[in-house]
Amino acid sequence: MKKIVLIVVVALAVLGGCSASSAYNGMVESEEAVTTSWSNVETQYQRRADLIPNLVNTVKGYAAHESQTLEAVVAARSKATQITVDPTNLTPEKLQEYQEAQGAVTSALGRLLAITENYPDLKANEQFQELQAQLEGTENRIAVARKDFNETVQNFNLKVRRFPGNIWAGIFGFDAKEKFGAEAGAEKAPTVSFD
Amino acid sequence: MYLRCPKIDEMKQRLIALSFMLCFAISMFATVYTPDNLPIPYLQDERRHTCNPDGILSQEAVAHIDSLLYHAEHTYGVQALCIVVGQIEGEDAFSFGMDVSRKYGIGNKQSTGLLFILSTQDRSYYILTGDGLEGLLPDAICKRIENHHMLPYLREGDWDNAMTQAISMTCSYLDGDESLKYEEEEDDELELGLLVFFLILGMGFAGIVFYGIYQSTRCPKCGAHKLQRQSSVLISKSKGVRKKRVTYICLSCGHLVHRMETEYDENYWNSGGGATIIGGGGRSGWGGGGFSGGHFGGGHFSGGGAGGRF
Repeated sequence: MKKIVLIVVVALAVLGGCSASSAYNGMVESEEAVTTSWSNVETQYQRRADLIPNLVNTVKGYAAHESQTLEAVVAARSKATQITVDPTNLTPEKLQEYQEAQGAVTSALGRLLAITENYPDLKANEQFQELQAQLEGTENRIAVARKDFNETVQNFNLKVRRFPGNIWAGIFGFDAKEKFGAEAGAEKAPTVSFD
Repeated sequence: MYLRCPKIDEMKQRLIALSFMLCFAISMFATVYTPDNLPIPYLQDERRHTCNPDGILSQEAVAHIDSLLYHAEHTYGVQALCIVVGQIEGEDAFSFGMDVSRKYGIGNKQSTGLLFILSTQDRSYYILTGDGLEGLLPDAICKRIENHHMLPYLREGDWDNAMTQAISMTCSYLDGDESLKYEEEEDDELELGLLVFFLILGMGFAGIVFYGIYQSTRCPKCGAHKLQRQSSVLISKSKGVRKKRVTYICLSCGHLVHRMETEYDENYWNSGGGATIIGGGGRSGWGGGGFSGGHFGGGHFSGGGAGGRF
């Protein structure tokens, strides 16, 4: 009788150990996926930041007196490039700060591109057109990278929050991570006026 | 003097109304394509790189595009698809193309996938490049190709020329690059796998043969592997088969072992019947009409390329 109890206890311990190690490895794996997709997001934002000086210089040649808009873009860029986020420590506050800084760049760039509409010579410039294409492509890449990041975070969070993973996550110290939210201001409908 | 007949006028009006209704009905029933319901002929036939389910492109244009993209795949390893449809879900060629590329994994392991998408009713187009092509076809180059070789035709509704010109221009960019070359990775892997398989099989077979020989020298009395053939007596011989009684002596304990052995003449296997196997005769799949379906190699797209609306 004692023997049977012993066997059951050993079997349970082995099963528990197996479950813990597979859960732990699964969480490590998806945390790595989150880190990779985060670095992808940063790469794409960096790519946009690298395009900005070129764009500003090209626009400056045609629209020098729009200095306020140009300076706003440069200022937003330098502010955004200063913020770096450690992917292993993605706190909601840090992510929010990063997103706000990058959002400021997006809106400054939007204003810059809006004023270029007033300069037909600039719009006809091949170099400007290609820079604009690169910028559009980069915005698309950012959108894709953000979506991928949110998916990997969701995958990780599911592993951490579901039963019995949540028990092991608590023991091993894995916390649910934050996702990207909608861009600031996206909830407001744009106003259209024909003045 | 020509007098207008009110009845004919009325009929004309009805006809016009009817044709409008018909057009409306057709546009209502036209499929709005999603990545899931888009047919991919490439999967059935690796020569067909064009998805033209609505018949927007002419047959000549499809044949031209197919030959260009087949050449691109088999010379540079660039797996490309040309998708021309009436309407797509979301009305945006970029997100549609991304979903298609992610669903099928277009491109090989170097991610040299390429997608040309045109949705005529949404008036949206996009050239989407895989990760491995972003260096060779940067967004600016894609935009330039579109602005010079695609947009002028799109504005006139000349879909055939828009697509063939854009694709042949893109292929000419591929021509200029030395780093692209066609590598059949899957086949290499398969060959290596076969080699290893046969090596293991051969080693196993050799092992069995050696083990058989080793076992046959074992003395059943003392267990030492010291049996030596001493003499043999022919018992029967018919049709090239000889039966012999062989005597072995153990060099360690002197025990005698008698075994019945069968030997075959050298020409035994070839005599009689004359059933000779002649190889050849079968045609491989590369002959006319025997093309197999293509498969996508799991390439990755991060959103490179350019596009717009016209």
